[in-house]
Amino acid sequence: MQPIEQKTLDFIAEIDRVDDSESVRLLFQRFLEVEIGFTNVVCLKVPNAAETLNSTIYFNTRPEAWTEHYVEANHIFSDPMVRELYKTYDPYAWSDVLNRRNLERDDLRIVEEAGEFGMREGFVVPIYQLNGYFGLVSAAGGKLELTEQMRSVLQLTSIYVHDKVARLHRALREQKARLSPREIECLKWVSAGKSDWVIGEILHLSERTVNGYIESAKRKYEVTTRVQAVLLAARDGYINL
Amino acid sequence: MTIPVITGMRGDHVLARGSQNGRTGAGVMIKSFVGVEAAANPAIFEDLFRLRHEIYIVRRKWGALRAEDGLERDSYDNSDAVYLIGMSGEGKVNCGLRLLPTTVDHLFRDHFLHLAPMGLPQGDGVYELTRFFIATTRVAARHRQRMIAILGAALFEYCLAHGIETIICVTDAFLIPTMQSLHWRPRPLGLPSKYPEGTAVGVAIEISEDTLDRLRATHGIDGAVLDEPLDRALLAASLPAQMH
Repeated sequence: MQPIEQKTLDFIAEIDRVDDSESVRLLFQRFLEVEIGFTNVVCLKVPNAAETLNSTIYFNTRPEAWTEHYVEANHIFSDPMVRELYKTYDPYAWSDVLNRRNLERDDLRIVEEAGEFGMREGFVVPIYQLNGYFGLVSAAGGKLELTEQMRSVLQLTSIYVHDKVARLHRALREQKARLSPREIECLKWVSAGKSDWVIGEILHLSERTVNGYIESAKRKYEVTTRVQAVLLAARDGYINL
Repeated sequence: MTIPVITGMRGDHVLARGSQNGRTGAGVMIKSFVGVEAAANPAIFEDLFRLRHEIYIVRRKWGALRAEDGLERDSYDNSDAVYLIGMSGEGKVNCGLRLLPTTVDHLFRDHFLHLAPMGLPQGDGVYELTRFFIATTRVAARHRQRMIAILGAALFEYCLAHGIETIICVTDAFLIPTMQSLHWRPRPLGLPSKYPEGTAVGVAIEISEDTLDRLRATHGIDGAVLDEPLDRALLAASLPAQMH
């Protein structure tokens, strides 16, 4: 057996034993740097209609300036690496896509810009679990030659890293949505159609305090409207609608 | 549980029992058969092999399995094999899997040892899983995921009842996340290896009640999905693992 094979299996065993996402990320970053030569990686659940990308990114170690630029320029809509996701279930290297296509001007621009941030090659592993779950891991770095073996290593490690952080994230979410009695009370009155001021009168609190409890509940559920918080609180059995 | 009655040793021709109620929904009952029962259940097994042909030769294009008669069978479909087969109310097969003891010839050891360079789990408590499928031609898309979970639960019920502690399996890398969705925690035995139709990787799966509990909870399965002939179920419960 080759050293890289043993190291990969050891890495996966180590990931299994870890119990926080930060450690998984650090271990994976180091593994990628040492064994492959990639310098950054993003691991996420592809958001469905009800979710925002922000809430489904498990970790992202791309250069911050690149991420900002990518978001600002809406590159997600013209990134050839993202479009490839709609065409295949299999993992692919950036070079696979770039070598094969006739690149549009927009594509070339993104490729050049990524290059300016030191990213010239990457490897994307789409991940499909049951119940429609769709996630991906995308590692990248400077130009390098990806052998068949490196691709195998990337595919296998990506699958296990993704599963681990997704589980940890889920566990955390289940823990997090623990509403305080005041938060529950406020949401109950919101569901009855009361304004923050009226709720304040009912509970002998200031309007601002009431607003604070409702915002806190929204944060815990990672939602943007109070209606969503009410629905989730009902789902969790905190209130009856 | 049902009242135990011993009527014979494994290896006798024993017909599968009638169905238990479909508590799990999707109209699926999973029945277990051992290889020697194939002759006594020709319709079911022909249906099974025909479906396997459709899935593995036609759809997945596994050229090495090419068969002239429209039935997919290999040398491992023998008297040592155990089959868990799901059938609709009308008796049509809609999912299945095959298990082989690792104490006899099996696929992984005979043909895929390179996928387990550190060594392959073997022994009385270790079985090999192959031909795990859902008949996509017969099962509506909205039922498929649940059926995967049901078949997965049946596998664990069978293993727990028969003292099987570990399952080894050669699978496609893209299916590992599916196994993880079932809370199986597959352990890779080596790096994936590319072949014409996909990427093969060997995994080992530990059997535990905990995994079955989690699988049931996540996928909304209320109780047992496996329907074993009473005598075999009792026999399994009473004999030490080595005798299986």
